[in-house]
Amino acid sequence: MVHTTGGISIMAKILVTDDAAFMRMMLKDILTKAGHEVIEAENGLVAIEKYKSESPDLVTMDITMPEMDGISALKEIKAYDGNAAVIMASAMGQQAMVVDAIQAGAKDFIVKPFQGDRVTEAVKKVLG
Amino acid sequence: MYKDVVIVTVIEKYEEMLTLSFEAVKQVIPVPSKVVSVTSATGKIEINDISVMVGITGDLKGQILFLGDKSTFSSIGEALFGMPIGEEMLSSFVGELGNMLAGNVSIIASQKEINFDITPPTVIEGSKSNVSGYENSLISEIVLEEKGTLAIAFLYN
Repeated sequence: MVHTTGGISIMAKILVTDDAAFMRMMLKDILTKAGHEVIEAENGLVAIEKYKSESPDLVTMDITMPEMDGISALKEIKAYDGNAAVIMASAMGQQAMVVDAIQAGAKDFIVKPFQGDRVTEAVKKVLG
Repeated sequence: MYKDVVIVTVIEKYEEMLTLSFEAVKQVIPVPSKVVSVTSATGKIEINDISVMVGITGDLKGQILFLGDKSTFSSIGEALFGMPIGEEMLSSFVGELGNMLAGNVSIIASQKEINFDITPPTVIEGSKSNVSGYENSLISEIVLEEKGTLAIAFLYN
């Protein structure tokens, strides 16, 4: 992770987790334009593997995915690394789901569809 | 020009789902839209071009099927993301649109104390495919201004 003076921009390694290639492409586009490095995972299981092997600074996590859903993956990542920074990005934004995610340790919950600046603001806030 | 909404025969909570799904369309897709027909049926639904199916489980059980043609979905993608959706990404986009629409239906439904979860989407492509394996279907057709028609079908037993 690289910090510039004056806190103008922080380049982070971000793991984008979503089963839709289209959504991974959109998020990668938004985040690389914001100056970050992006790696991808297509489900919760791959996200856990990549979290352990790549040590990203932040994770974006979809919920509805095959193999392993995002809430389960969030819990496993947090169990592995209590300081893990995870932002949920999902269409499943019912209040109960948001509460579950935050209680499981997510830092923010973005409901799809979202605008690019919602993502970059959330990332900026979490990276602090 | 839009026709009047025609409601044939529906079961109340699934009828409400059609209303909620239209609300989701209005929230997710930023173009003027109107329901032009609502029908109930049994038997197979024919799919042309491309569609996406999402399972629902909880207070309601069944599938939601979103049907349209490729140009309609591509136009929706352009309206949402400001750029045309290329052929190689269209299937994935259609799956994700199904996910977003079904997810938003689940949010709106939960506010009315109808709670269900959704499965990952399944995209179906090809002309003249048929979907079967359920007893009932409720179908609404929604015209999206200058984009085309999106049909939403609830399939249940």
